Amino acid sequence: MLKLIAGLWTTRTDPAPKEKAAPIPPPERGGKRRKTENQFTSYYGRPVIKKPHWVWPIWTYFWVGGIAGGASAITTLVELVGDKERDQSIIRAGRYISLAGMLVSPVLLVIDLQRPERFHHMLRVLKLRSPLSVGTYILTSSGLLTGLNAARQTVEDGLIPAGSLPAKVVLLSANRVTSVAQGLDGLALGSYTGVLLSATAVPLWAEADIVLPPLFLASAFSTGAAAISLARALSGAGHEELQRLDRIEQGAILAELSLLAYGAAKLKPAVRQYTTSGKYGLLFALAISLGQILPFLLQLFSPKRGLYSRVVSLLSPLLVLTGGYLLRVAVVEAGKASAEDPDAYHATTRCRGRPTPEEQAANPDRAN
Amino acid sequence: MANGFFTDTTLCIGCKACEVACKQWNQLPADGYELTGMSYDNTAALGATTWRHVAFIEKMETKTKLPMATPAPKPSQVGADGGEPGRLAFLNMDGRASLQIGFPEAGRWLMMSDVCKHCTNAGCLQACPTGAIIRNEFGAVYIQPDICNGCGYCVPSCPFGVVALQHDDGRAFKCTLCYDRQKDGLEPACAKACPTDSILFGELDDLKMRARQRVADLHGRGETEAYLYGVDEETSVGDLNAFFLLTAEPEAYGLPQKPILPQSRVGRGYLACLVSGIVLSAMTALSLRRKSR
Repeated sequence: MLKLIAGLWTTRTDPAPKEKAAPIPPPERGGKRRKTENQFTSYYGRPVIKKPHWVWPIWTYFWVGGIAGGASAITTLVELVGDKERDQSIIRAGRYISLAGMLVSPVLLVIDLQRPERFHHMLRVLKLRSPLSVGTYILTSSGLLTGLNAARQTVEDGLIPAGSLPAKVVLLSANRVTSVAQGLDGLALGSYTGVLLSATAVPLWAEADIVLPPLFLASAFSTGAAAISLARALSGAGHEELQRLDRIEQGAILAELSLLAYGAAKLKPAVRQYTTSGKYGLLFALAISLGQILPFLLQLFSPKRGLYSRVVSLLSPLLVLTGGYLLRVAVVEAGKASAEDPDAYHATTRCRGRPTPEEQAANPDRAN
Repeated sequence: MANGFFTDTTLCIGCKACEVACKQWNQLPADGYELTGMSYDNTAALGATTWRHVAFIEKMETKTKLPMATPAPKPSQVGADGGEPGRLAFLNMDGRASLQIGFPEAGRWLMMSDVCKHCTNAGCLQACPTGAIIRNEFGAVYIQPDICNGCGYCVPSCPFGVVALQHDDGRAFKCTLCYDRQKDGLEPACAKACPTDSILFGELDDLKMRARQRVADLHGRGETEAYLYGVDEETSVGDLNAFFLLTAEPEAYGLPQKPILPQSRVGRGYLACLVSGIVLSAMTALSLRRKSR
């Protein structure tokens, strides 16, 4: 009992994670006197900041938007530096995948609004300091460009008769410039969500401020390449074509792994526990081992042909896509848990340089 | 003109008149009848329908110190037996004081009426993607209910955990600094109701002057733990339009020691986007090119 009371009132040294959403600590009863240590570490262990309400629409959007952004960027890069003839099928798959992603993303975001009928209020201002506002315009422009380039693809595929008026309009308006613009927008779409999270008071996201945008973009590249790779494998692409996509995936996975390692090393211990222990630690471990390391190894040791090769070519993109989803869930949910922990939050705001009461009173006339 | 609150916690008696006045004036619904079981504080936190919250902190004294309203005695006035003149001292057999009336070892309650800080650089205002959150003509951070679409981004962007979404309504709500009352030249309901003037409302420059004077007075009386929270310190959220006089570390009251404006990380974030975009594109381009040779 005394230990319990001391835990609430005195300097807590063990960074044991608190039970999730335990807003009301157990009542203190019993005749024992409290330890009279005059040091407070929190207000009865209650959360200081409020966590966001975000649940599945948000992390699904991070995942889908990442796939669409990654696929857009990869498609544009293939168009720019790839082999025109041989990579035609990759470009085609990339265009349709990014279109599918861009159709789903806004729906997920509108679902998440608590007043969905007012979604267009997002478009009445542009605020560069608000990543959500910037993201609104990234998503809007991305949607337009992706739609335009996908429309051109349908004309090239013969789904719209080449001589018809809509086909002519599309062929005139969608060109190399819109393709490059879509690629750049894809990069922005894949990474801005990291800034969106880090520009909050949530300890985990705030501490990982320079890790999250690159991590999300690397994950966008790996899941985008995996989505294209899966589509190509399902339509029976050759080993060499799939290997080209595998290389993109592998590079992105290596980037993700190093960013995760750097991020974990950079975090303060009170915040790091949310990525290394408990259920969120498990989620992170699952995302890393199943979604990154396993497909990486599978691809490395995959033979050129045969049944095993076919299985790997289907399994590894599926694993990468699942891993990308789990990573988004882990980052969002672990962040929300860290927001409810006053110790984690105070650890991020504690600093040297606060004047002592005496110092502050000594020069009360300081100009502001 | 910017108005604000100066909440002097040394004057707070924990009556919660401010909470009640705020609820009544702003017609905020009740939050239920839950008991926290931790102190006399059953309000627990600020929220969408709770715009004033009185925190109760039981502070146990370790140092032998006089109650703060009494002037500290000079060393020369302290009696030979260790007791202080004018106070009843019970002496041991060896003549040392064993008990002093005045209960210097007893604890005391710290009470603080918390409220939206209406920061100079407000995280919620900068985060709001609809422009629903504005700074009004009285210098207060105000959420326009007809614009807010309930995206909820302001909620984690507040470094003090003030803004919250109302679950049945969907929009974000917080203290308006009684915008309607101020328009009619009245002071906010909480400040009006406060029986001890722990909550002072007024012009910020005037309030800051009075607050500094109050700190100096308290220090003069030996209450050297008193300090101002939210003004006269360097933070990225800037001066708080609702600031406080505290006598314990900020964490005790559930306040961050040094609040950080979340948007101070945005520039770094965009830069990270740019750099990672270039690096990953280059990596991808290289891997594509190497194979096509």
